[in-house]
Amino acid sequence: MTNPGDGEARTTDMSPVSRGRLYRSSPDPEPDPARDPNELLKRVARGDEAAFAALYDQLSPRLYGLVLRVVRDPAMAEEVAQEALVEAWRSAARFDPAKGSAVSWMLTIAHRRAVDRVRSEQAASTRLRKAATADVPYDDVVEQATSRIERQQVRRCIDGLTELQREAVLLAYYRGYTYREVSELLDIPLPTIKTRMRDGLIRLRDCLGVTA
Amino acid sequence: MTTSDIHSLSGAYALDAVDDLERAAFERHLRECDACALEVSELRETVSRLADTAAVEPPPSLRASVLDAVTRTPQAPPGRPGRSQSTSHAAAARWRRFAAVSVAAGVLAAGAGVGTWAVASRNVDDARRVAVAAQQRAAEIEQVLAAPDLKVFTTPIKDGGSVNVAVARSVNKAVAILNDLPGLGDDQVYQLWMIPEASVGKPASPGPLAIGQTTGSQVLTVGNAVQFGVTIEPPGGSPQPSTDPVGIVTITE
Repeated sequence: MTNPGDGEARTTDMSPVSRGRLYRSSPDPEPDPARDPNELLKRVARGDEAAFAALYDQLSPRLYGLVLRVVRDPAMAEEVAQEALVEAWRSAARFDPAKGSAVSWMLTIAHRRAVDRVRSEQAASTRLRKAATADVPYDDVVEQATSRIERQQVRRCIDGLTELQREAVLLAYYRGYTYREVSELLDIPLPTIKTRMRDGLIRLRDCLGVTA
Repeated sequence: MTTSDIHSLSGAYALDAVDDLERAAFERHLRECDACALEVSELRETVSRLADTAAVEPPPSLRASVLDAVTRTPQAPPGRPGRSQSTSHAAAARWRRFAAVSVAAGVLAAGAGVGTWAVASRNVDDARRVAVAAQQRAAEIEQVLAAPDLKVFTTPIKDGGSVNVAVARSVNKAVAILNDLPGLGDDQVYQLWMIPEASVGKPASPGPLAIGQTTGSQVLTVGNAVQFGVTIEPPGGSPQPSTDPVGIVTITE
C-alpha cells in the first residue's frame, strides 16, 4: 500500500523552500473571471479564439499529459490531444456548467478519445499481454512526482486507497482498460472490480473534497 | 442487469472503463436517475484530478497547430453533437457509437437490461437467464464492432426502413441492425442472409427473426459471402431464401 519512493518524494516536497515555491506556482484561489476555465469556455462557445488560447495555456499540460500517459506515444498523443482540443472548440456550446467543470469536461473528451484510440489500435488480447509485463501505472505516478501542491494532494489521496482500489482505478484511467480487462489482468471477479472502481473513486472524491 | 448492477457501473463509467454497449446502457440509465447523474458528475470531477499528476508540457508545435485548426473549424450550435473530423477513424468510431446505441436499445427493449422489469416479473431466474444471454450476445457484438477492419454497408428495404450491416471479416462475423422495417403479419418474418457467389456456396442464415420483429440486431457469420440480403419467409424461417430479397447489398469493396 505504501510505496517507498513515494515517501521520499514527499519529504523533499515538504521542505520549507519547496513549500514557498509550491504556493507561488499554485493557481490563484481567488476566482478571477479572466482566468476561470468555466468563464473562458463560455466565451469559447461564443467563438472567442483568445479565450480558447487562454484555456489552452491553462489546461494543455494536464490534457496532453493525460493523453500521453494513455496512448504512450508522443506523436500519437499530440494528434489525439489536438483532436480533443478541436472537438472542445467545436462543441463548446454543449458545455453545461451545471453538470461539471470546464476542466473536467475537456479532460473527459480527451480521455475518451485517448481510450478510443488505444482500444482501436490494438486487439484487447495484445494489450493485456503487454500489460502483464508492464509496470503498474502507480510507478509512473511516483516517478513523475512534482512539486505542485495539487499533485501532492492527489497523490496523498491515492495513497489512501486500498491496493485493489488503486490498481483498478489507475489501470483504467491511465491505461485505458475496461473493467473487464482489469478484472482479467488482476484475476479478480468482475463485480469486485466494478465495485472497487466505484468505492475507490468515492474515497478519492471525499479525500479531495470534490463537489459537483 | 439489475438496477443495483447498473448503478455500480458509475465508477467504471466515470473512468471510461466500459465498452460502447455498457456506456450506451448506462447513459440511458443516467437520464432517468438524478442521484446517479449527480454521483457521476462528482466522480468525473474526481477522475479529472488524477490528470494533475500526469501533467507534461506539450510540444510547442501543438499550440500553434491547435489554434490554427480552431480558426478553420466551425462551431456546433448548442444541443447538437459536434461533428467529428471526417477521418475514417472518426467515422468508424462514430458508427460504432451509433451501432452501440441502437444495439443497446434493442437489448434493453428485449427486456434484458431493465431492472424494473426483472423485479416486476418476479421471475428472477428467467430474468437472469435472459440477462446472461444478452451479455454473451453483447460481447459478441462488441467483438465485431471493435474489429479493426469493420466495414459498414446499408441496404434500403423495399417498403421502407433499412438495414445496416457491419462486417468484420477478421472475426468472420457481421452485425445487422434493423432500422424500422415495415411490419409483417403473424404469418411472415424477416430472415437475413449472407450470400456467397453461386458457384461457391449457398446463402446462409443464423435463422429467422422473431414474429413481429422490425428493429434490433442479429449477428451473422460472414464466411465467403459477397452480398448481404433480407427476405420475407414463413414463420420458422426457410433453409434457403424462398422469396426475392426485399433488400440486398454487396459487402465486398
